[in-house]
Formats: sequence, structure tokens, C-alpha cells
Amino acid sequence: MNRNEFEVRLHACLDARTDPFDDAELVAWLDAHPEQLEGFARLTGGLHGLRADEIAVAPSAGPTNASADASAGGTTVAPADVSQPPRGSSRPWRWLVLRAGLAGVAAACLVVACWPDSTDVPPSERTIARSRPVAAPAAGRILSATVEPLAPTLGLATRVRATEVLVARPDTRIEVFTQWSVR
Amino acid sequence: MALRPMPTEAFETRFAALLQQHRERLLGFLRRLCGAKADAEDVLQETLAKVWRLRASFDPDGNAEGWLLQAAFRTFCDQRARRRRAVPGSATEPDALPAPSAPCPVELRDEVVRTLAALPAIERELVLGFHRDGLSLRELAERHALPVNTVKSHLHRARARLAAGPEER
Repeated sequence: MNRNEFEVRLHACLDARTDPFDDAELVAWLDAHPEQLEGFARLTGGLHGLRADEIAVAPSAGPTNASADASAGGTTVAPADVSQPPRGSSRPWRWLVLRAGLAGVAAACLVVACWPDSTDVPPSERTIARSRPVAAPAAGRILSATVEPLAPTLGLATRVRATEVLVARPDTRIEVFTQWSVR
Repeated sequence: MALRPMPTEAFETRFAALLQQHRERLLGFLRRLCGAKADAEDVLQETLAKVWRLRASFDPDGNAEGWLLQAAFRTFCDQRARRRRAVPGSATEPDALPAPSAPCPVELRDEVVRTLAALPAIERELVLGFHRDGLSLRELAERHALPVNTVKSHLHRARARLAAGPEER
């Protein structure tokens, strides 16, 4: 049996859902070809991983993704055309750190925006609104974005999707806008 | 018949160092075969004990890695056969692979996830449908409006990717 014949026989065995280790010829061929053992082990391990019932596919459109579903607590597999490989689900704390970080940044922005500026003219009854430009961001810079997990995976998702992205244009200015009560 | 000389102390020191050097690789190999770390460590211990007993037959100029992988594979097959004999009826159950006795290790699952993410969508769908969801070839063919032989071809390519090393993917 050569390598091609071995592969044909191995796939036929897997297609029939029979155990390759029950095929004495397959086992004997592998035993005689130790250079093929690691590849066979990777395949066996990969199939163990698939059967672990913990692999989920990120939902997406199109007929080729008809069986896509996401299991709670599982690992989400992103489509192949995404730029980064998916990370493992073994580090759920990263999500907590990310969320805490985002909350911290948002809180800092709010404090800065609301901090009273000593150069401002004190409010009077005639002042109902005032704006002051504070920054001119470079065009194309992302000013804000909301992210959400690709699938409800109890914090174990390895992918996020950005929604409501606000990007600066060439004429964009950031202003602190203040409105005083007239009473 | 010429008797093989007893291994010298220097040879045994080198042989022990060789086993230490290949230990992690053998463990990784066995973890893929066994699916569970504890089982893999059991087989590894048995393998190391066996090759130590056979150290006099080791050829230092030969392919040490292949020799050790072969020994580990044989030990795994022997242990699997012993376990099957110990569980009456298990040898006749249709089962594509020996069921791991513990959940799939995280590293193994991550490796599978990375490989799956790199597959074309149709191959990913088919390999998950067949091996994870237990759908038949005919069901997959109907679901994706493909001939059964095309489904098989996609499955074979997807499995070949699972079998390939990181440098071959």
C-alpha cells in the first residue's frame, strides 16, 4: 500500500464512521511509516476536537453557512477571510479586562468633557449655550465605536464586531458644548 | 549469534538525555492520539519504560525521532487494545475514533479552531456537519445541494488540512 492508497482507505474508513485503528492494514502501514505518524495524530486530535461538541461557527449569511450556530460556552470560529486568527476561549478574563478598560476610557472622557474650565466666562442669565473647539482630529481617525460579541457565548467569544463607528472627516472638529440654565 | 554488548554508562547517559529531549514532542503526539492529557501521560510513561528496556537495540545513527514515535504509537495501540478487551462489547461498537475519557484539551481545541478558521466556508461547514453534528453524507449533500462525491472530496480536503502541520497549511 502506498501513501495515496493509505489516504483513500483512511478517508473511506472515516466516511463510513469506522475506527481506523480497527483496520489492521492501516495500523500496520502507519507502524511502518513513522514519518506519517504525526500527521495522522494531528488528524486524530483534530477529529477529537471537533467531536468535543465545543466548536461553534459564527453565524453568517449565505447557503454555505446553513448549519452555522453558536453554542453557549463554546468556541466561535470566524470565517476564513477575517484578518486575525481567532484566539482561544481559555482566557475569558481578557473580556473582563477589555470591558473594564472601555468603561474606564468612557468615564475619563466624560470627566474631561464635564470638567469646569476656569477660562470660561461665568454663566449669566443671557447665556444659554456656548461651544468651544478643543481639538481637530486627523481625518479618518475613529472617534468612537461600539463593539459587541459576534455570538452570545457568556464572555467566551473570541471575536467582536464594531457597530456605530464614528470616523472623523477632514472638516471634523471636536467641541465642548455647554448649555446653561436661564433660571 | 553475536551478543549485543551491554550499554555503557556513557551510552545510557546520552540515551536518557535523548528521551528527555523528545519527551514534550512525544507527549504532544500522544495527546492528539489519546485526546486526554492523563491518558497521554500514562502512555508516555509506558513508552519511556519500554524504550529504556530496549535501549540496547537503539541505533544512535538512525532516526531517533521516528523510532520513539513508532514506540509511542505501538504502546498506544497496545493500551487501546487492552482497554477494549476490558470493556466487553466495545470492540463491536461503530465509533470513528476512540472516545477520549476527558474533555478535549484547550490547546487542542484552539488548534482545531485555528485550522477551521482557515478552511474555505464550504469545507468548514461540511467537516463540522459530519464530524461534530453527526450528519450523514447524504444529509450534507441535500443540505448544500451538492453531489455526495463532492461532499466527500470537500471532507477529504478538510481532513488533509487537519492533518497538515502549521507550516503546510
